[in-house]
Amino acid sequence: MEILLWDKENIERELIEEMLTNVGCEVTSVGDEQDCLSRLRNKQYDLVIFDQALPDLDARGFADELARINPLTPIAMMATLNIEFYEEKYGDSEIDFIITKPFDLAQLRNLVEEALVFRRKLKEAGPSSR
Amino acid sequence: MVDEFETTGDRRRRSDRRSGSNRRSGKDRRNTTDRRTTPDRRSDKDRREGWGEIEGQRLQGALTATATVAHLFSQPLTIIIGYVDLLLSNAEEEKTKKKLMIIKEQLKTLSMTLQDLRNLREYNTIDFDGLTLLDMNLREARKRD
Repeated sequence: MEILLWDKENIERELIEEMLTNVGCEVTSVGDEQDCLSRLRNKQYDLVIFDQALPDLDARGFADELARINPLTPIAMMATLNIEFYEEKYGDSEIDFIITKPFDLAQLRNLVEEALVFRRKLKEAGPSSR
Repeated sequence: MVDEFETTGDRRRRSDRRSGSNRRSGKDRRNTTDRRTTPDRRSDKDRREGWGEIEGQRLQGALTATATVAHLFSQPLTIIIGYVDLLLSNAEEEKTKKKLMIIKEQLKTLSMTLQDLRNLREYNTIDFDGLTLLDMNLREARKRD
């Protein structure tokens, strides 16, 4: 499973990359929003994970852009607040998964497995299913 | 944070911890009601609207504070938990594994507390040695200890 990870924080990015590698994924990690979009334009990934913890990030707009580039790639957002808040705010967005920090290896593995199943469903249903 | 208006009724459940006698008058302080005669500092508007408005403001303040704490603590906790997990997955020595497991258990408790903060919906307080604390799952946590 190939994962594209965007996290601005170096230490956190390195850690999550190592955690994802530990659960058997191949990871491309970037620290820049534009770099993330351009990587997705040039390669197929099974999952994109990005960190929401940036005050000026338009998470909805960013997820829209990701889904526009590749509608078959599931999108996961790492978040810090109450899940109900995100469900209300992003429930109708292109964000498919929200993983709340702090999370451990088992929770990250669950996310990867669920994303894999979801990607299969998306593929079967076709790009217009989004 | 001291609940100076004692709006939650916790005081009724507390034992009176005042010392026996007043140092100046020598009278038994436990028979007096001086602690209950503090001036009402509510504004006229608050008096008219009752405590509901103030309770709502307190809840809003508490929610802002807890969301800030949850947001700020999330990243460092993710990094610590993540590295402990990675160390655990590679550790071979039993002693090291055991210590890492203890750290992980404590981190789990911290994560649960953070989750309690995120789930805060009501402004309830409990007395903790004379201080008023937000009532999350502290009673449960005490039982766990």
